[in-house]
Amino acid sequence: MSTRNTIQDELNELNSGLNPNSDNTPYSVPEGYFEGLASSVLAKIKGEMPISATEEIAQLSPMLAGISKKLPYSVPENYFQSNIDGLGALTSETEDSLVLSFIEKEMPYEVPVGYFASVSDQVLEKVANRGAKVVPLMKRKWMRLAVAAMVTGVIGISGITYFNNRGNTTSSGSDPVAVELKKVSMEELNEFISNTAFDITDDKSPVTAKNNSRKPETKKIFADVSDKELDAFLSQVPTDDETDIN
Amino acid sequence: MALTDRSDAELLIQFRQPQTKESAFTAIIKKYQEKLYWHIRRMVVDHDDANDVLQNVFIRVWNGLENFREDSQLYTWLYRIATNESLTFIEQQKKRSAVSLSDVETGLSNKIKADKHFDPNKLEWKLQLAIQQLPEKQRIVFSLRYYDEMPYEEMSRVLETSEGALKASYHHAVKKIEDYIKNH
Repeated sequence: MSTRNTIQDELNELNSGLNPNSDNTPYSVPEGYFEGLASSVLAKIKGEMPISATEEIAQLSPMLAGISKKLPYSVPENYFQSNIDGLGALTSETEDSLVLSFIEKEMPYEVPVGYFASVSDQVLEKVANRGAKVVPLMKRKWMRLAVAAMVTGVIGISGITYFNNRGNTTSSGSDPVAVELKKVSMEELNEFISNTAFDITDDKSPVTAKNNSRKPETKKIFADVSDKELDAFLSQVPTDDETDIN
Repeated sequence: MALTDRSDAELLIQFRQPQTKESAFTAIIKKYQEKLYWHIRRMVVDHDDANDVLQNVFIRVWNGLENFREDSQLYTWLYRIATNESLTFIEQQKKRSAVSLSDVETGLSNKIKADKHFDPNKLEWKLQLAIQQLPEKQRIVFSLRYYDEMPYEEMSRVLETSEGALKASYHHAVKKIEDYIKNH
């Protein structure tokens, strides 16, 4: 049974009006399309395939394809061998020598005329101007601070000791007045006291004591001073009691 | 096994070992020096200039091969260095003489004519003069394709340009050279 009959049976079962026997298709095909299809497909495939340089130049320019590719330039004899022999300079162990081997050692810088001859003089001059160098006895700061503290302490203690001793000396008898008094006899002292006429009152201050032996001298001094002026003076000048209180 | 018989991969491994570093480097240079030299010489024409550029290429290879990532073929990497060094050299020549590009091309043409073996009647010499009329990049494309027969795929890695652009450039170069030779 052919495929067409099977299809017809199927269409009949479906009550379809389609006729599989019809050869009428609405599309048209260009003339010779199928005849040329194979060659056009092959050309496209070849176009995408890489072509060799020889084939390409032969296609592009037969003239150029016919020219010898040997270059007309000359090369020095043994040039390529000398490159191999000279590779040692490029492949030396230290990276420095690889670069340095291509650089001349002569320095490109200019030096002023007579420079090197004057360097020593300039240095000596600078050294002389700087003066003698101060060399500290103690280089460590903490040692200097410790010594300073010790000296301060010694001075302080000495001062305290001195002033304390001075105070003790005034009551201890190392006072020179006391020393001289020791040389004066009791009789002379009594005579002095009776002549001086100290008024031993409660305040025991010799400043306020009346001195009878000096009364005539006092009278002479204050002859021109009125009592009113003396009172005014005394009211302005504080007494020892007032001084003590203040 | 002869030094040059070792593959690039083997040479790279040996280069990265201190005890075989120098021998591997020597082998690499022996293997590629002529190709690199001619590639450079086609650009700069003069032997002494080509020698200077080639030495610079060797130094860069020595310093940089340790870090070569192997994302391209070794010779691709070498050609890239040689191409860049050649272009750098040409740029320096331009700056030193403070001339325009066309004057540099004229200078290179004069160097060709100054060669003791120069023969204006020979096609090989005319071809060299024709090549010098091309812009620098196009000169490189023509040189790599015509003389070294480098595939476009490889050339695109060397010059970091698309294959389509390279093909177009090469086809234009061939046309220009043909016209020059026909007219001179």
